[in-house]
Amino acid sequence: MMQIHKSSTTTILFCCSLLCLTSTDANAFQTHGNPEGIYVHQAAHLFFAASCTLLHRQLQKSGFLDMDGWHSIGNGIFWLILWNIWTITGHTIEELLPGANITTDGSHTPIIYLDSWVAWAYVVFKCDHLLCVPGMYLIYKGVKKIAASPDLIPRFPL
Amino acid sequence: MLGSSLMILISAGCLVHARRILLTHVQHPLARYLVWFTYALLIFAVSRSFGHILKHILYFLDMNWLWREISPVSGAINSISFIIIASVTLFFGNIYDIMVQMLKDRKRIEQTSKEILKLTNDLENIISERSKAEMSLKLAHEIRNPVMVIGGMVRSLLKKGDDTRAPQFQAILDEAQRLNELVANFEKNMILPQIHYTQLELNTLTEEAIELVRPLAEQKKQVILLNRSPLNLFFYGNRQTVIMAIKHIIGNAIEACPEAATIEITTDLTEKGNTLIIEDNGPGIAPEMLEHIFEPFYTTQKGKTTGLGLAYVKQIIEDHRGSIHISSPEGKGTVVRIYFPAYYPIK
Repeated sequence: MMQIHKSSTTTILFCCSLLCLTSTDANAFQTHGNPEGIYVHQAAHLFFAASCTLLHRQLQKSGFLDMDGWHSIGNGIFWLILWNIWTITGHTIEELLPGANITTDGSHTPIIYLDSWVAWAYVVFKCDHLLCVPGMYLIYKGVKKIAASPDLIPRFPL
Repeated sequence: MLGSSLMILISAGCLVHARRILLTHVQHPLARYLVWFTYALLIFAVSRSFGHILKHILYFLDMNWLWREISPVSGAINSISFIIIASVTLFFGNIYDIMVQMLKDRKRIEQTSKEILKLTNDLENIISERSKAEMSLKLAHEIRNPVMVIGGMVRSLLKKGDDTRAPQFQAILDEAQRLNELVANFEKNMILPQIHYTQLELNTLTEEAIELVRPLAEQKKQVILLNRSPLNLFFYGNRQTVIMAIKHIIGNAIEACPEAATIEITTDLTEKGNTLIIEDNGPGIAPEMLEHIFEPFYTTQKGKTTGLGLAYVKQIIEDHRGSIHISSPEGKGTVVRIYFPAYYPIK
């Protein structure tokens, strides 16, 4: 009885929805315009940075950072936080840079005209691998150390 | 190009070592987490570096138009990889909580195991001492019978008036009497030994017993209420066996009661001594069962229990000069009253 009542309510609601939404104003899915991509990307960077910060805090609070390999992983995560901040700034500067400043001009690689501080800043912030590669290496060093000394995986929380 | 390639190589190295850790710490949540984390790092590195490398190659091949087509896809994948690694990173908190819970459970299991081991040892000792005492008493009884016969016969010989051997008969009679007194003294002193008996406090023991059965009650969403006496209820006895007896009674109540039932435990000092009352609002015990409840091998759960539980509980309480009474008014649950003689240490 309950089941029949439920399904009839659903049918009525569905019919009402069909009547309200004609083909001219069908808003079933949202349109994703041009700037959305960069917003999503920046938000993803923020999420990445926030979760890394939280992980670093948890490692510190639980005493893992006092252990050899974990200390290195903690440092690597710190570098990744810096990298995220660096890249968020880089992407913001990229948005400020006029499109005319970058051209391929028949060359294989794009050329940038360094005619403003924004252009200079863009070049500097493009070198983000100077942060993420060391970060990744520190994590590698930590994981390698833990793999070499089984005691570094604690049996219990510290 | 170099930075991007390094990112992929290093993250792959991380994964290799994390998998090595997992091999040596199979099923360890932290080792498993490190594998997930390094997988996420690899996805992040590949998604980031692949775009960079492809961009350079396409620019080199003068296929800038193709990069313009691929670039949004590469960027989207890159964003997704950030979400993946961020989500995995956030999961560390859960892993840590699981580890903390595992530690608590492990400690509880260790504690329970220790209690069980000590209890087993104590029980073995008690049984062994009891058997020795019973054998000694039996032996004393067996010695007394022939001594009595010897004494009686010698006495009748003395009455017959055989004067020549009277001193010898008198000596035999004296020795027989001495032997009889020795046996009597032995029996008098051979009360069942109270081994490992120390000063105990009923409130504390009740709380410890409750802690041992609490997981069972939690499984059935039952509430255990303790009305703790404000007085220290001292008595003299064996800690482990008393805890076992109390635990057994509360365990029975938990088992008998339905889900979400309440088990009320009260400790008090009454005219009968240190009193422990365990009340439940379960289905109660039928009067025909109540009559036999303390009989060894009597059980209401054929095949599941030996039926020795309550018999042992009674034995333990009586060994402590206490008593146990069970009443179960029909449909009103069960009330178990346990009394231990109060003992007040002289300061």
